[in-house]
Amino acid sequence: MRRLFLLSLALIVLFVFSREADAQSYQLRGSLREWVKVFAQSPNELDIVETRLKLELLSAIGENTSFKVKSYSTYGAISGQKNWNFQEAFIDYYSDLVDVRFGKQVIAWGKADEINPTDILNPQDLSNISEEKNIRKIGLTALKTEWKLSDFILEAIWKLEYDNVKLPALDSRWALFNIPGLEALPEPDYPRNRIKDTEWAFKLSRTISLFDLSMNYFDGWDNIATSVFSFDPVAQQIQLEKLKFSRTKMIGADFAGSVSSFGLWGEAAYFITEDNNDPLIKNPYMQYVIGSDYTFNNGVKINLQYFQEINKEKSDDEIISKLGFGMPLQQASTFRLEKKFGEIEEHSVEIFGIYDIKDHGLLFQPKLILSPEDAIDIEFGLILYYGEEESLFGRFENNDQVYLKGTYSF
Amino acid sequence: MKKNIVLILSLLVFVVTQHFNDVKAQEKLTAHQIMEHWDNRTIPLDMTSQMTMNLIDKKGKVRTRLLKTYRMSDDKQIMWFLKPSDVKGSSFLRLSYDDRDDDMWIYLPAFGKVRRIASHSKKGSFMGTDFTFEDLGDRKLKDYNYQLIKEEEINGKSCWVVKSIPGEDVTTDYSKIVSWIWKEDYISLKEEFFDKKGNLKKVKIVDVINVEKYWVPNNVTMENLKTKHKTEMIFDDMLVDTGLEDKVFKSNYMTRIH
Repeated sequence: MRRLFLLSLALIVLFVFSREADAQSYQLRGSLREWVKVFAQSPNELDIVETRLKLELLSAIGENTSFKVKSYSTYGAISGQKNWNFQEAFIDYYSDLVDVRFGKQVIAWGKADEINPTDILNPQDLSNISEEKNIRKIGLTALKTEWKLSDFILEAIWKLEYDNVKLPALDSRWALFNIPGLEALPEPDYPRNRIKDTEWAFKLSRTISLFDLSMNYFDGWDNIATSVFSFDPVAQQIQLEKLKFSRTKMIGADFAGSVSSFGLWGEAAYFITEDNNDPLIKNPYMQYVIGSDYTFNNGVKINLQYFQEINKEKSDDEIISKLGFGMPLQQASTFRLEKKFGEIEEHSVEIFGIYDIKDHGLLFQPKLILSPEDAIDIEFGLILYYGEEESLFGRFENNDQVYLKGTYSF
Repeated sequence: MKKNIVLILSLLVFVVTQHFNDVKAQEKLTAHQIMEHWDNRTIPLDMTSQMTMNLIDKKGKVRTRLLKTYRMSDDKQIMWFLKPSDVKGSSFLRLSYDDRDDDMWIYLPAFGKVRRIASHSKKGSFMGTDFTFEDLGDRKLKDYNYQLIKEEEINGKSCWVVKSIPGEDVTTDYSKIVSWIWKEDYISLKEEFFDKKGNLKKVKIVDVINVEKYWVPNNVTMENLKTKHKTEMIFDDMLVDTGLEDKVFKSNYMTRIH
């Protein structure tokens, strides 16, 4: 792995400097981040001591073509793990009628903040749930086209690669659930590599008056596995037999705009899963978010959202998650307060939180971001969990953390 | 010979008369008429430029941003940040309308999507500069009442000094704006911005150059008198009337690699 990494890095450098084209056509940029997270509760164990190098190579080739490669190299001092991955590596082609992007890419859908029901094209690596969302996303190979049709933009996407959400290990402090007698989840049955198993999606967007609107459709695989249980007659108990992925269709819509002095947005997604009457699969169900923001005269910006999942066919008591245990957020609200300060508003203080309305839990994240020089950010924050034992955040009540993050961008 | 002399003299009289008529017509303009000319002044159909923004704090420390900008008359503007590295790739799009507030969007590569800027957020600072989103937008002629205060020279250029007071329904950070309008081209060379309490808050100075028959700003400085901080915008590599297409001023163009 290390040799491959070094070889690729050498190739990138050679490629960049051996070209006769104008050096300004190529950009190599990135960042170096150091991150330390400590558990607040005694004995104050270190959770993460991590060095991460992000490298982006971009180039515009003429007016109609460009490419981008983005990779992350991570070294975890506590775990000893080294990790390197290409999050994105794609080529763009632009024309008057259609823009084409082909390659490994992250496609961001949805206009809500942080919680996006329609943003399902890329699964997330949740093994470190406090990582930034844009880094958690797993890039996948796809052909994305954007058609310019008068005032409309039609996005048509063909996903050629499938991957699923990565969950924290069952034996870690961050496990989202526990299964008695099970130390690790079995390897799921992945969709087969056939054309008919590929995924596709459409999105139609337009701006009308003060609002940006879009509608979308997805036909693909659920990126969270469903548990298949069986009864063991010998042990006389139900056991987890395997994990499988279900074919899912999603119809979604979102909007963003302004009303008076308030920003306003909403996003909704309706999911229909091929479950063959599997009682462990929610079917159909809907998720929606509505939100608003406002900036006061003193510069304080407030952002509030409400999220809900509606399962038409089952009552709350009967709802069993795809994973069989517990439901990560069915009804919640998020809040974000932000204030910039400094000579050029280079620093900021922010409070972010998610309140689990249904199960009475709370995630509370205050943070201070200082930027003493351009390209340098120093972030100091707390991640605090409160809640009843059965709630998502209540599970992590002993995992309150303090962290320090330093980033240099180049 | 006599006929030629008469002809030349007649032409001379005609030209001089026309000149004095123009001068007299200018001198008779009301404040509203002056601002009408300001709003309708001849500007390039489109313009591309490289903009350097120097953010200077009260201690003289400078932070520099480099941007690439495209503009179509006064209605459409798109810009990409080229430096510093932590904002490189970010872009900003503004579309102006006669009958309503500007639409503005911002693209931050870290989030991977284009976000609309809510109207109240327009009072906020543009990327930490002394310009708010409102300052970068287009003031609507009909939104203000005007009063001609005096005439004054700036850097040898003769100007009208016009006070603009926003109407009651106008969302703005300012109680009034005083503009020095250059008589030759109707471009404002200096503006004073007053806060809601009537205190002088910011001053903008504009230096202009002539680019292919157009007078365009090449250096715009906005100083915040309260914070003693100022922002300098320097425009280089200006090209006008190159035939920029409308497709450039769309939100999907913001995500392109430059």
